[in-house]
Amino acid sequence: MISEKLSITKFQLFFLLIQSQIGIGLLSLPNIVQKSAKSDGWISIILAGVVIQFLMVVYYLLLKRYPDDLLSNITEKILGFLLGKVVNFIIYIYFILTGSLSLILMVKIINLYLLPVTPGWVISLLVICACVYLTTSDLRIIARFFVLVSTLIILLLFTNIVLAFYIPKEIQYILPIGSAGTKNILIGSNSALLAMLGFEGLLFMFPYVIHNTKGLLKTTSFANLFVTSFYTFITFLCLIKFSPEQLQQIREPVLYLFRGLAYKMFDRIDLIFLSIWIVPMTTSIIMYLFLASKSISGQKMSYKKTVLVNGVLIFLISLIPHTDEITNLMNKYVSYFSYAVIMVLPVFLLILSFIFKRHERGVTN
Amino acid sequence: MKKKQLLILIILNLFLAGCWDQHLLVNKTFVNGISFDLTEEGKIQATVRSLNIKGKGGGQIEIEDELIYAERPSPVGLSIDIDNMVAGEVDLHQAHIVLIGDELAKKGINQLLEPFYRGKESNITKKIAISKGKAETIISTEIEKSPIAFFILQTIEGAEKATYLPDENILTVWTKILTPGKDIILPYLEKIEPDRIGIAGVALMHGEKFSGETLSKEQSSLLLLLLDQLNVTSRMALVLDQEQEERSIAFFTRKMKRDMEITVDKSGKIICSVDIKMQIEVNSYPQDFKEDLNIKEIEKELSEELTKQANEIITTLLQANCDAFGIGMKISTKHPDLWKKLNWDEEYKNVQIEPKVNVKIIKTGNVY
Amino acid sequence: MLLNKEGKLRKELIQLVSQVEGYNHMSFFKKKSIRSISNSPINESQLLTNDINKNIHSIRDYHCRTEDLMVRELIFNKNICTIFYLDSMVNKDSLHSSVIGPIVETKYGEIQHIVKTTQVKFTSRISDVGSDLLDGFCIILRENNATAISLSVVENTSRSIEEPDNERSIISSHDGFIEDIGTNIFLLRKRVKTPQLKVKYFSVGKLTNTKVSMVFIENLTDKKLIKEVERRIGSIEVDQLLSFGDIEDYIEDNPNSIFPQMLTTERPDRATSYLTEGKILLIVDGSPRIMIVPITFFAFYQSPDDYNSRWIIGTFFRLIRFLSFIVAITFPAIYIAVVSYHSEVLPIGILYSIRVSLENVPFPPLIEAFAMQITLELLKEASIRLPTPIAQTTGIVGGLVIGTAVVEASFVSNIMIVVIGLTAIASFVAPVNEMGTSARLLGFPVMIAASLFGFFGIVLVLMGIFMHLCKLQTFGTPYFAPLAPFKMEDIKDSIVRLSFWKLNSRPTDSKPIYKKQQWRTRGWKNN
Repeated sequence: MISEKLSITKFQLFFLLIQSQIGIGLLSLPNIVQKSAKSDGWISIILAGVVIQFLMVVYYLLLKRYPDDLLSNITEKILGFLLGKVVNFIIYIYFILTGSLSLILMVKIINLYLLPVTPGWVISLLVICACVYLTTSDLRIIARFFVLVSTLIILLLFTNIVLAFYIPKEIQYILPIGSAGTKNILIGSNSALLAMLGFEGLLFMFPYVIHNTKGLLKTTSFANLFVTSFYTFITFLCLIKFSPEQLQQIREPVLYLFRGLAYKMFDRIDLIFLSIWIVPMTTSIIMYLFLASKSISGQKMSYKKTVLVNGVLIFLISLIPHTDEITNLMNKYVSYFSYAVIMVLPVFLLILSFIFKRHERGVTN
Repeated sequence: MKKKQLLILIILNLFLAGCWDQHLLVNKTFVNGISFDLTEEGKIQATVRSLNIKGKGGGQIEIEDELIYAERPSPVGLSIDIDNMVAGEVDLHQAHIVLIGDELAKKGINQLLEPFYRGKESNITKKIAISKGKAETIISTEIEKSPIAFFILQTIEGAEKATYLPDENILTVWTKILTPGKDIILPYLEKIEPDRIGIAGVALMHGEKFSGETLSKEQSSLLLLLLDQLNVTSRMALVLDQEQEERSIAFFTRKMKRDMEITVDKSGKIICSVDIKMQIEVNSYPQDFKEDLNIKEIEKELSEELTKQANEIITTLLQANCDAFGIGMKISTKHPDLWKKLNWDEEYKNVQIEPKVNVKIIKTGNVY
Repeated sequence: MLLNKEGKLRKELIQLVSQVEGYNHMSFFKKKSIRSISNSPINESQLLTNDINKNIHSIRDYHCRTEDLMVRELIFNKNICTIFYLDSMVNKDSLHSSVIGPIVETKYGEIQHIVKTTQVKFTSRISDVGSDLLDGFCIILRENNATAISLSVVENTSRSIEEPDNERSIISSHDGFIEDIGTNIFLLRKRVKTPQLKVKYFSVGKLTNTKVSMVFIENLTDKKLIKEVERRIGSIEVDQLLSFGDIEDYIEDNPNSIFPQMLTTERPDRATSYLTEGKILLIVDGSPRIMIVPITFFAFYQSPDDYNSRWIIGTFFRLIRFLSFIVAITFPAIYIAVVSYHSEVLPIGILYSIRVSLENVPFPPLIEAFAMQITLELLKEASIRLPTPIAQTTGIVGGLVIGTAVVEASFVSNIMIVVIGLTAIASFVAPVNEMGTSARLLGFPVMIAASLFGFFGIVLVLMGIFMHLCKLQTFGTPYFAPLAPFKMEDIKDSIVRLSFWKLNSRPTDSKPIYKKQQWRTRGWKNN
């Protein structure tokens, strides 16, 4: 059982989910989806949102059967102790790798725009220190922080909406709708899905939510709706702002969206935007650090120590790659990994739990 | 506890060695205008106006600027040369105007602008213009002590507000160069002897290349209206050429509406009709006060005159192969199959553009 | 400049005392020796005897034969009775008129019926007698009687009730707490006339025996909270407790945090407003400031004046104060980051003027900022303790002479003076000075980060500060409520101030037992 002290409300869960989803992925998302889905990139994102919604339902069905257990306990219950341990370890590796990938990409962006000469390890060390500092406290405090900094995302959403009226745009760029073909759109949503990772946190946050068996699906659906529409909106904006060929040349189109602006007080709004965006990027890493630590923390090591060790691990992994090539390779493997963990595993577990452990449900009440 | 302290000490030490990226403002030399020209040997010459700012005390600033030249076969590396010639770090990216000589512009401007898109520090909202003759002559003009780039910038911005020039900056130029089936028009500057710089009109581009054709200031104003790019206001003066007498009229365009339609007939001929309705305010019209003003008639005369001028403009556009209307882009989205078959560079000249101007006087100012 | 002089003096006194009494490494000996003094030669539980002479000796011994312990012998009921009092602690007039006078005149009867004092106590333990003497009682010992009579003739010399200097208000009430604990409770009771107002006394400090009182509203304040505060105060075992600062350090949750976790105030109106929210007040005898626990961050940016002006104005000022917090922390850092990292952020006009003012300044911006901040702190510290006319001179010397000269000598740029000046002003805006100073101090790490990593550093340190704020808890309640955890209801009276009739429920951060605080407010409108 999770004690009252550690529990979070559904309101907090909503922000936990959107904060862990929105992060580094957004900046280059229009470029990535445009690569395959061309001018229909925004459709890809909506499709990815639909897939996530489906997964959310799967998670909900699975977790509802074990409302007081973390995913790591559920796997052990369903798959048996040994196999469960192996699967849990795979999940743990996945979280660590995703966390380090986010960190690597974040360091890359900061090196690219803000601090070109500062060694990457210094940046990642600072970020990881901040992450560990927050993650060592319980989920409630993480949730408080996430809710607090969500004001930044809402602020940015507002500026974007204002921006949509202000910037020169050309609706012709996305016409005719659907010209890219279904296959390309689907490939696009594959890459979009990767940018929207983070919803799998539900697997480990579920038992902490107060009254988690009632109305939770609504909360998660709203979170998904928010993230999907946010991403779609931004991508749409980029698609009509930049010409298709230009968009292929720009690595972080969202930043260029701001770069073309100049107000009386500030030039280069992209720098200010990126500086603020550091926070949502960090929250994603915090979430993965938390998930990784939760997924293995047991009796042997205290939670705090686990966080510290995982933090050091993520930091060390972030030291390895330097070139774009290695990063892309890592990105590729993490994406395969993610499909296994966020799609295949929960569906598999759900089916198994339906087949074998039909009686588990009664235990909870 | 001791371990913790040691760790903190190590980290502190590392940071004390830091400041990797510091670029103190005080060490920077600002550049406020850059021009690119083609030399006779075929090299590219960059001329930079670097600023020397001095405080005179009491909050007054004295700005003196100097010219720096650099020459290279390609635009790459020009900034390194310039950096070596100036004390401190050169902040090329803060330049707010980029001038390109017409000879060089005919070879293409994309390669010149590329460092500006890519640069981490570059301010992508700066203005870009093409000069009549060498751009260096414009940027080296001395207008008392005020930096020339400020002057050019103000001129261009003023002209944009008055709808003489299109509102473009490097970012939008970049977007449009990379859009197939749409061409840009850029400000065209000239040096008026002895020490003045004026707007000569607009330069018509074909892709990234300057076509060599230009439009005069009045023409560009009408073209911008045809393109539906009315900024705050547009001021025009026309001579209504009638048999009996010469009358001239000056007016503001307050509001306008444009209808553009592209049709492809069975033979594959592309017809584009551009229909604009202008609501104008008469500004000055020397008239015979004995008779009442015949507003209807003036409207008609104006419409005819402007349509005639519009036709001239379009002839020039077609000659220059400059698809400012973005007809190609429209076709590509409306008739994608046709678009794939077309060689737009060739085909554009055969497009039939039919402009129609419709003027409505809504105000006549303080005088009837 | 508005700093609490009283408190500072007291803190210095504490330091002095600790220096006189020996250094830290001697503390082991110190404790031991003092303990032995306080216990000898009389045992704590020793009782009075029937032998009056022995009793006299015991009491004298208990007080170490101090010379201000006065003894007067009288004959009453034909027996000798002895009156003890501490010369310095009693009011001689009332001793004469209400104790000695009646006894001498009446000669027979029961003493407790004759005397005219307000408080009569019977004690039989020597230690009780001793502490009563310290509280300003006079003690009457009778022959062949093992109980002593304690009569209150306490000398009450406290200053009058005045408006506190450091928490002035413009339109709110103008009374303030004073050093006397009784008067302070009187001020509270005068405002909250309910039988549920409960006062609990503690005596803390083996040497000082300082009276600490805990005031709360019985059926409103969270029981767990009361227990926790009692437990924490009860656990203090020290020799001296001189001021409120000591107790603050002893019982707060995060002593290493830069943020003050107890609101101290000298304003009774402020204190009562928190009392009725279900919070606990702690009053230390001898300190005019009382402490309020638990408290949230936002309480430090509220002023009683907010409630006495129109709600729009009150809200506006609150928002301005939060802005001041952000400005005080980040403004110099942003300036440093811009001039040393991201000068491309500024448009060309501003850039040129900054560039001009920086010309010829030999120091990096961080050093400039540090130097100016420290100069400012020096000026502030210098002028606090000086008498007002001289303090003004310091201000003029600092502000005008140094400021102008330093710029003219090109040691510091004009803009930096503007930046530091604005920052200082912003930090003085905080209605509670402690928080303003904290904000100014927090500015330093942000500045360092800015000079190392530009905007990235600023954002990172700010993120760390907000993480810290989210993590802080005081007495089990989150410090950064109602923003973290977010509670829409409570924002009405923390970040903004809405009209009173909208505040139907009290703030929930201290978990009051019942939430509703008003029932009919603008009921007249419905009739």
